[in-house]
Amino acid sequence: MSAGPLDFLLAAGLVGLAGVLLFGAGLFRSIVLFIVFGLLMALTWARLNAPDLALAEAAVGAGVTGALVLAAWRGVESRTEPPVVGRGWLPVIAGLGLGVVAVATVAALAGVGAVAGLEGAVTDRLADSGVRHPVTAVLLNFRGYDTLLEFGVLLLAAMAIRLGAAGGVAVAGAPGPVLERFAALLTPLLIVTAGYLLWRGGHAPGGAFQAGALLAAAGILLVLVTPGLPDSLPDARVRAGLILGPFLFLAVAAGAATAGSLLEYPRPWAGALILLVEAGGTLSIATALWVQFVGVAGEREGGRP
Amino acid sequence: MSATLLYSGVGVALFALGLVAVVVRPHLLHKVLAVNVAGSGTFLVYVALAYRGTGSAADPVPHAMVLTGIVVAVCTTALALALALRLYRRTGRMTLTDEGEGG
Repeated sequence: MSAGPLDFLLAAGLVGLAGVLLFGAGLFRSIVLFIVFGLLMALTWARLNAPDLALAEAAVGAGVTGALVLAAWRGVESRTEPPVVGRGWLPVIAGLGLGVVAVATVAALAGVGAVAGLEGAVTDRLADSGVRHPVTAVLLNFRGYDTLLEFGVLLLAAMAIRLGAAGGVAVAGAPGPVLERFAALLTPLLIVTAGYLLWRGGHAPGGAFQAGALLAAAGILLVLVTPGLPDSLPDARVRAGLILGPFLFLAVAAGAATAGSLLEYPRPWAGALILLVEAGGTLSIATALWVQFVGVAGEREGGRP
Repeated sequence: MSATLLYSGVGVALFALGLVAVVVRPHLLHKVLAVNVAGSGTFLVYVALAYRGTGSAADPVPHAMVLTGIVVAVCTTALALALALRLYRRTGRMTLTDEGEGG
């Protein structure tokens, strides 16, 4: 339980990177450092026995977020170069006040001592949940309602971006041969790995979110190398992909509600239902993240077509 | 010092740094990055408190909640970026006010 030299190194790296990327000059440098920061966070999750989070952070936190911010940066790079820091006394006072609060918080955390969490409760009921991996059981069964709402959030964000987008703007620039080769090699690998992660989530770290993020990455790669791709894709398919996951989850929840309470899977069917919901969820997560990227990246040219 | 205390302290520090940066830096993309860093700090506090040592499995409930949080953070970032770009399309600026406008 005690922190070793690797932990102090990791901690210093995280705080140092954050300081440089947040307060340093140069927008592009900050974005690149932010992606590195995401990878360092993935390392930290692995260190803290959170392999599901490490997978998700690398794919979604560093990968998709980095792609989003880079796409947004490309949309404004020619014009705006940010000044370094705002002036005045307010930032200094706010920083000092926040520092006091931060120190007080850490002092309070130090006094917490050993915490008995919910791992015992989860282990007790794991056999009934339908899956063998505790995090998946919590996500899709014990706290399934939160995940259902999260599917809704993904759908909402994708819809909001689609509604506001100028539409019809090409995402791909002129992809070089390296990117094309890279995309050709990586796309099938991403699809197969996504399928594997989806299946693995039942008994080991993995699941719908990680698999969906990998599929979204494959979609983003394809969009970057294929001119005219976002427009030539039939809109009906995109919409179907977006709603499949939430619809399946809602259908399963409603079906379970007729037998018992909301989202209470019948015991012998729990495993199969969870896999069904996760499969639909993978497709919808991938579609939602992809739609969000296309929406942000498509704003490049500015002005309505 | 226990690993839990160290990493939750780092999480608090990341949150504080991110919060200050959101207020202080005028460029919208910097603000988006700052919110993400603050979010990562929050997740780190949560997961550090769920840590039970190298031998035993960690508490899975905070892990599930942070996983949800990571995905929601991406959606928030995407929407924030889309709105920022629309603001840029309309006004030609990536800052919220005229104060702090650079070159």
